[in-house]
Amino acid sequence: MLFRIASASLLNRKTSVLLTVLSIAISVAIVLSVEHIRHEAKKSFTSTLSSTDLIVGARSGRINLLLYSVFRIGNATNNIDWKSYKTIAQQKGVRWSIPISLGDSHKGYRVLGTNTDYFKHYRYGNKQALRFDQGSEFKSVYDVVLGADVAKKLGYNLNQKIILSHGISEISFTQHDDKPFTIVGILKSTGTPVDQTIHISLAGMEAIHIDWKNGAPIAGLKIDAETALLKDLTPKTITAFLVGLNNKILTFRLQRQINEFRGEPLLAILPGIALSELWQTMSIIEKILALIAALVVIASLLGMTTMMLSSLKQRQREIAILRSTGASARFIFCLIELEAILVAIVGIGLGVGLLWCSLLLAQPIVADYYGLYLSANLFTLRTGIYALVIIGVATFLAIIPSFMAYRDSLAQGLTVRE
Amino acid sequence: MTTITPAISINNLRYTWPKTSQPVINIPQWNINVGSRVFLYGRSGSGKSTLLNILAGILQPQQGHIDIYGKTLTELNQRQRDKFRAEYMGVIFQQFNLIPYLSVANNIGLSQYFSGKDYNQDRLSLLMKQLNLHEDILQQQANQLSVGQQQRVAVARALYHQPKLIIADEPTSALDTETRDNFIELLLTQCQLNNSTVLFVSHDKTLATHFDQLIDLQQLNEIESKYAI
Repeated sequence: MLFRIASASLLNRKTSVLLTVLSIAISVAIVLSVEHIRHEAKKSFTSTLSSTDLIVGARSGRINLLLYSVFRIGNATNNIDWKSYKTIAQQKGVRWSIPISLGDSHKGYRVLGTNTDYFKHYRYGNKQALRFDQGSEFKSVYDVVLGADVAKKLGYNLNQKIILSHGISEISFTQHDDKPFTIVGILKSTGTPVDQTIHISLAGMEAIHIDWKNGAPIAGLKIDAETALLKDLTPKTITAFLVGLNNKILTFRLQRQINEFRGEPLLAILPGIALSELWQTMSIIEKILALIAALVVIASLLGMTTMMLSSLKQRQREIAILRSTGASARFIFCLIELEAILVAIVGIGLGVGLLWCSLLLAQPIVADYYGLYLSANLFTLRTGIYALVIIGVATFLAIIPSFMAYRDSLAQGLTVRE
Repeated sequence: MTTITPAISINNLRYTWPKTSQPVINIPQWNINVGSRVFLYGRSGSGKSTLLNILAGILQPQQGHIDIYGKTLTELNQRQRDKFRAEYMGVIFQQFNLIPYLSVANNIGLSQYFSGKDYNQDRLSLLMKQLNLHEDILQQQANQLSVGQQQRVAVARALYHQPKLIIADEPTSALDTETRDNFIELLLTQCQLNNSTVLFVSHDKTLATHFDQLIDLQQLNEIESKYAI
């Protein structure tokens, strides 16, 4: 009977109830989307790199090393000697290593010099390997392999020739225009910074800088593309390298060895730890967003309380009728509470539905533009907990109108004061 | 003196509103016999509403005793009084007796629900027939009925759970003269069939002819009238 009266009463006040439900739905959609996107972004972020046991670079900050080696953000402060790399790569227990050489770009996309081990050993997400959408890995010096986004955004196809620019700014005045590269492969989308990377061989990287010194062309020296191929194209330095070990137990020992390397100051980091450290630095924004979302929910629930309060005046007679047929004041209290809870539940349901639909709509767009895969699976334990908390707050706030109705029904009883 | 238990027995009843000094109700002694039909004449300001709230067990007097069918109402706590009201009383108001957004069936079901009585289709059908109400209206929303129909549904609700005491507070004020007399006759007949005691409160003395007893609240209630509401 309580439920029947509560639902009929709400249906009777369709307009104001519907508006309240809508405001709760929107606030719930906001709070859940902040939470959901945060969770998905973190998942996507921490799955940028997988199976790599150590990242090694010149000694600088840990986050800095992670940023330039994995996320193509910022710059290395120093390079590593090729000989140092070789020494470490040949250590016992090292299963594979991937050298990385950075510093050039093409239309704002970073160029990464590496070797074919990159395509063999690089892993992202849940230990997924890189796969080719078209073509294959580079074979000759002036071959280039594009990340999925680069090809898509710039509209490049296989066998097209591109010119790399020196430095990493989008508008570069120095072009390596004497040594054009041919696109031989395009990778499948990974949802990681790999999609925004242009891959060339270390030899290619060496070749375009053969007539350069200290970041500038050597005056009067011009070595054309063909002649460069005849030179020794073994790199002298690289920027960083990734290491995979046979046995994870060796990780800390090798890390210490690298950090104490005698040849030059090096830094080895564990990608998992560094990734979560980096995520921590971003957590303030995350927390502010969550706080704003929570306040929006509270505001909408306060709106509901106001709606309930203002309806009490009109409902005096109805309450008097209930009391006259024997309803206790407690029944009246529960009636108003139940109405609030029903409004909250319907609002939450609608909010989840709203968010679910918009996620389904946004999924392909977000994946396209940001390489971020948003799952639309909202029906998780987390959502359940949020729903319960919101219902709890609604119940708590509804104590105000419920108690007023309770008190009035005790004092005024069967008579209605106009 | 007979020792028959009266329907209502009031002894030395006093009620003072909070934050006021003078009582609005001061009834030294008043009995209503079981099965009697009492017309209580009360002008506005005679303390009528307060008395009804006390009899219904909603307000608790500061002093005195009320016995209804042998049960001392003033010794019960709030919840027990609510339960007692649900079981023993049927209340009919002036005009708006029904919850507008509930169906007629659900409105009548309220008294059944709170009194804890079982649902009885035969009884409901009989009651509807006696009150000239078509059963088709049971599923209609209460606010779709005419005022006359609404008042008869209110009677159906007040009587459905077979209460011992019917309290009617100006139930005819919204009806025209002819329907009013019919309504009162209908109400009284039904109460007689049910053997319920009727306390009918009104400021319209012309209605008193339908009743066994006429009591003027102003004579019963020994207060200075300026304090009453």
